[in-house]
Amino acid sequence: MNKRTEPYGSPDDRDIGALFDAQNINLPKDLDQQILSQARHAAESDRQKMPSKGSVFRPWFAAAAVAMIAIGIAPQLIRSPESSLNTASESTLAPTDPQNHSRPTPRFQKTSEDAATTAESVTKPEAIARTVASTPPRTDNNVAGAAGDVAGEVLSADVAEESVRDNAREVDPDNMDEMTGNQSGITLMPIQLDSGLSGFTTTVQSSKLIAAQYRLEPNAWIQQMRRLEAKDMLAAAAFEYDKFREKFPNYVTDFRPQVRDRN
Amino acid sequence: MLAYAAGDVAAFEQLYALHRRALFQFLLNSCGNEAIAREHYQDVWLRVVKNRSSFQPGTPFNAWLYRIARHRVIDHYRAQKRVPPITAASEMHDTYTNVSSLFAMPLMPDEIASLTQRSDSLSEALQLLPDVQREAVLLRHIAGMSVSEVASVVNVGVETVKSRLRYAVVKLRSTLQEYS
Repeated sequence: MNKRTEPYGSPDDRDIGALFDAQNINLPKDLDQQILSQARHAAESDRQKMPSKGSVFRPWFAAAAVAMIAIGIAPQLIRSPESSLNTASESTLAPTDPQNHSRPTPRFQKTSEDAATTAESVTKPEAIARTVASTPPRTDNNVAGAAGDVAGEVLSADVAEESVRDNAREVDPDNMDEMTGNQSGITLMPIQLDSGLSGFTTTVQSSKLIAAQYRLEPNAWIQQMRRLEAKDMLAAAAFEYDKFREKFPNYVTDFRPQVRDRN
Repeated sequence: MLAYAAGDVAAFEQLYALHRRALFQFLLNSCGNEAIAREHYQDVWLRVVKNRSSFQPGTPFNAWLYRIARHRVIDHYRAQKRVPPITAASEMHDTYTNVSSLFAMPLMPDEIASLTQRSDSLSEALQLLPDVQREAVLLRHIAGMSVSEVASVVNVGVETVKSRLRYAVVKLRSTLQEYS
């Protein structure tokens, strides 16, 4: 054990080393087994504490499985029509509830065929609201054209424009209630208009849906045109009539729009 | 030691067989009492077992083992309120008071033979050394460390270790020649 390979400048110390080598030592042999058994016990306890690979990863697999279920299934359950978490019935009543004006982003669903043609206006209600707000004041001559520019073939935008500018009032609540009651699967939400229309809530999307609904039935469409004329919305009635004739050219009716010179 | 830390008990048995005698001899000559040396011996090995996971790769096991043993001895001194005189002034004082022994010659073979017959003479001579010198001698001649290793274990410079060893050897010779 005594190497003493490195001289350190002193006189030769081999004699001292020889004395240490010759020193009589009574080794504590009784402690040997005790120390070695302690060492073995410690090593075994280490092995027992060392977890297997499976037990290390098991909690992570469980957590990952739970996360996948939560992310993948829970949203679909929430979105399903049968789910009690769906707020369709709650939002259907929203347009007539002034307390709901502070609701965040409008959610809009419709199941009719016209949904495809009004996709942009449906998915971007803010854009419609901005366009309506920036449109110049209505006259009888330009209202139909303005409506055509804004919402294309959808008269609902025109109706909404009428409601916003002329009378600063909502679309007929009675009509709304009637229509929403008849439309299963249609969700209506209010739109909060800003910039010049602050404090005023309109139901542009609701009006579109109303239009889509009454256009399915000739008598309902004619009734709607009569209502427009009764409200002195002559240009809108004339525009409706043109659309009516495009769809039902041979339908016999005595209704004639009072205003024909829209251009 | 790394193998033992990984669970290889046979590696520890090899280390134990290799260092058991030297460690016990170091502790016995440090304390001068066999019963206390046994107690320290067991405690040092149990500390080795307990701290096996803290052993740093690349560290010589010899240095690590005797660092633990040295701390155990220092704790023993502190418990007895026997503070080792490790100041430089004490070393200088010890040097000048023994200046006459600086010219002590190496022990002759017949002197060594007579000393080995008296197993307690070396232990008695070691107890007369200052603690720092005794520590250096024991690490050098029992643990088989180089001067730089001894300096690393006791946290002093290499030249300091050389000086301690030089004076310790001279004083040991002087004392042992008196015994013989």
